[in-house]
Amino acid sequence: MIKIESRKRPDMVRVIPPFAQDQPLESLYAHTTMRDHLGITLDLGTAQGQALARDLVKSADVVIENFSPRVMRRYGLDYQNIRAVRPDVVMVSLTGAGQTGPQSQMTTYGTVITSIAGIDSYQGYLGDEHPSAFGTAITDPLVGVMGAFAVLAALRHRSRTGKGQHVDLSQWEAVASTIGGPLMDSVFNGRTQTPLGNRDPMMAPHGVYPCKGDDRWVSVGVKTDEEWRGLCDAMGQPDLARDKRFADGYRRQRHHDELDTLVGAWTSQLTPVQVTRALQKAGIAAFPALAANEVFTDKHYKYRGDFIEVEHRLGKEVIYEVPWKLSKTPGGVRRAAPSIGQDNQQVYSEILGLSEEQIGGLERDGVLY
Amino acid sequence: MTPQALEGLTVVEFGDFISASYCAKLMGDLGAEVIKIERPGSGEESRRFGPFPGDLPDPEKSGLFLYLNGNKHGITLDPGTAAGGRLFRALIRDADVLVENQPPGVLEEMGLGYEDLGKINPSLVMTSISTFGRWGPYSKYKGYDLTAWHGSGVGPVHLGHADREPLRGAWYQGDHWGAIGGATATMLALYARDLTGEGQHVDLSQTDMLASMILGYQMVTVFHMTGEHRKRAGAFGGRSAPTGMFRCKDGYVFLYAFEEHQWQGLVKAMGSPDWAQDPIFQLPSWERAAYGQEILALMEPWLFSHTKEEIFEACQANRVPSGPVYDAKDLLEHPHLAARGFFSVADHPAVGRTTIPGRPFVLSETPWRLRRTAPLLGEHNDLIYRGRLGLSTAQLSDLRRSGVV
Repeated sequence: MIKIESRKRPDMVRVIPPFAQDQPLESLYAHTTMRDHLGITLDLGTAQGQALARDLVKSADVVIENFSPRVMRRYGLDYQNIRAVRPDVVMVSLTGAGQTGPQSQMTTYGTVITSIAGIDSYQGYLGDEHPSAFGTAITDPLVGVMGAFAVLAALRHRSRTGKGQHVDLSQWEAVASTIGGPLMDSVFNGRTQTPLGNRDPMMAPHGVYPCKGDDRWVSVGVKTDEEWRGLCDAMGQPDLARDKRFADGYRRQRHHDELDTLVGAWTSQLTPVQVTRALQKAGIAAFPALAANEVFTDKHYKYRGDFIEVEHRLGKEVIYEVPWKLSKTPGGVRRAAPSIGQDNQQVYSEILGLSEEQIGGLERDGVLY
Repeated sequence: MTPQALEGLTVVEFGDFISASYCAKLMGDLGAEVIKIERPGSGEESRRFGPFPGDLPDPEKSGLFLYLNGNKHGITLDPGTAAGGRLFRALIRDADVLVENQPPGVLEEMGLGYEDLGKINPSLVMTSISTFGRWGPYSKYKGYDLTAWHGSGVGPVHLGHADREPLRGAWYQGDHWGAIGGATATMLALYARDLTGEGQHVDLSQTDMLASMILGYQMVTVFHMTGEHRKRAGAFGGRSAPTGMFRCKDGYVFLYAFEEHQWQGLVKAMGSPDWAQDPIFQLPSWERAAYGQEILALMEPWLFSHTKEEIFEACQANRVPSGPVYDAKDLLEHPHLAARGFFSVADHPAVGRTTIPGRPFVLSETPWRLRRTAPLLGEHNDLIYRGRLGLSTAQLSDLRRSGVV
């Protein structure tokens, strides 16, 4: 994986503090996201830079980009041009709104995508009018993974037919394709759904309940009548199981506020772990709401190897590992993130066959900058 | 007919609700043959979820089921019976992929875990999607989408107000993430199979996906380096202003002014008001964030006198990342999505003519198409049991009578 960057307009993830060893362009955000890449500098605003990019594409199987369509066209690096130098390339364009249509040039960031794709309108506390925004761009990694899926499917097609193709991935659509339920409700019934908070139309009680301590919570979800009886027993109130208000899922849903009070009164005397142990033993989904530091030090995530230490040239650091576990070809992080331009020598000489002199000249001319 | 990217691939799906269904749908949409197994009688959970036309429950008319199960064949089977187990194994023998999201231990008890199925078909890629994964200290725990959001730390860190309970992500995003991660990992395993000839077990944990890809990618390195970790604090963690969802004349709009040129663009979009020239508003966004409330108060006259589309247009003209907060109706009526053909119209035997959301992305050579609408319960029993497995009509009748099919 060769990542093309330029100091002229550094990738945003390079410039957000905090920085490793206080060094510029060594944002820790870049250190987590750019692992396994060879880092090269190339100013795509220059004709020479564009020509070198096309040379790189000649030996590439896949091209990944997330610029507005007009930017790639300006650089002469849109699919038509890319295909001209490498006919069987698989190119994926991860734009906000896609390559076509009236809004294709819109300026977006991940945080905006959840709004235009409909998710934010369902995000919030039950009964609150104001939707509740996500604290971060949750869709950035999601559309990245979706893009990887599309690339793998296209590569499979290529290995069978010899044909490459262009994946036009609109983040707006990719994310809107995850709210089939509300979309169909609008189609069938003209209804606009509103935020449910932590509740669920199929389960009750279903929520996050307070525990002993400051900002301590446990999530609990009850699906069946049997689980409900198990919860009553665990709470030490077996009589509740005979309470008509809570006799079945439908009634429990209608009396959810009362259920919340009852369950919350019990959980608030215990720690999240105590509630979890008691309820999981009874076959009920319960688990602590973990803070970030707890996730990063938790035995389960440790056991599964979700966060690993790598050796970066600026010191040891912990980054996230591949999230899926494959039993025979597990893969995994091979290399810490590059500093900007760290691999210029290797890529330009080994892949493009440029001499030291040529590389030096391109550096002096500001093409490799 | 144009070719399809995953033509020739057979995927067996045995799951409930969203994660397994959406995972198999992603592959079916690209041309794989998906055989969806449902339990006889009741079918799978999303048939009971709705939404239903006119709010009248009918397992053949659930909107969620219709959306998640287009481009699939549907059969009924109880793999817990001896005869059912044999049929399940027979299907697996010729399959490339099995996607499942059964609760912990269910398949193993039926002798249908990877240990067993991998022996029957060594080239099988078996993809298990679950809340905590198939191994590790919590792997026997029961969990749902709710559990994954809060157990991964993403709810507590990124969703809700600091002085209230954390929230889960809306509309089963955790289940969908599990599906997308599962489909991608499945493709990786198929890629490896092309090289080695061997199948494998893919263990996809929804908490892993959320914990590593949302929480971890932004925070784990900083945490281990500095000990710093944040708690929920609204849009963008309150680290930039103005950034977030703002009320306007007819709804809400999301504005993002993080980089300097974006803030200057927003000032222009607002008509360059005098207050924006104040030196404190010239600070970098993370310092300006301390004045978020003051800035919002000054912006409100402009926000309240413009619609979300007007604000969107003015901001886009000045290159400010921005977007209206749309609901389902807005999406269904949106000219941009219409121009790209995001929605399709199909005839379903129980529902009739209906609009259905379409493909998640566009492939230039192997375009998406809706080959068939979601199956009725057991609709393809004949096709699969007689056509694919070679059972006789009498054998199939026996299986029906005994409740296996």
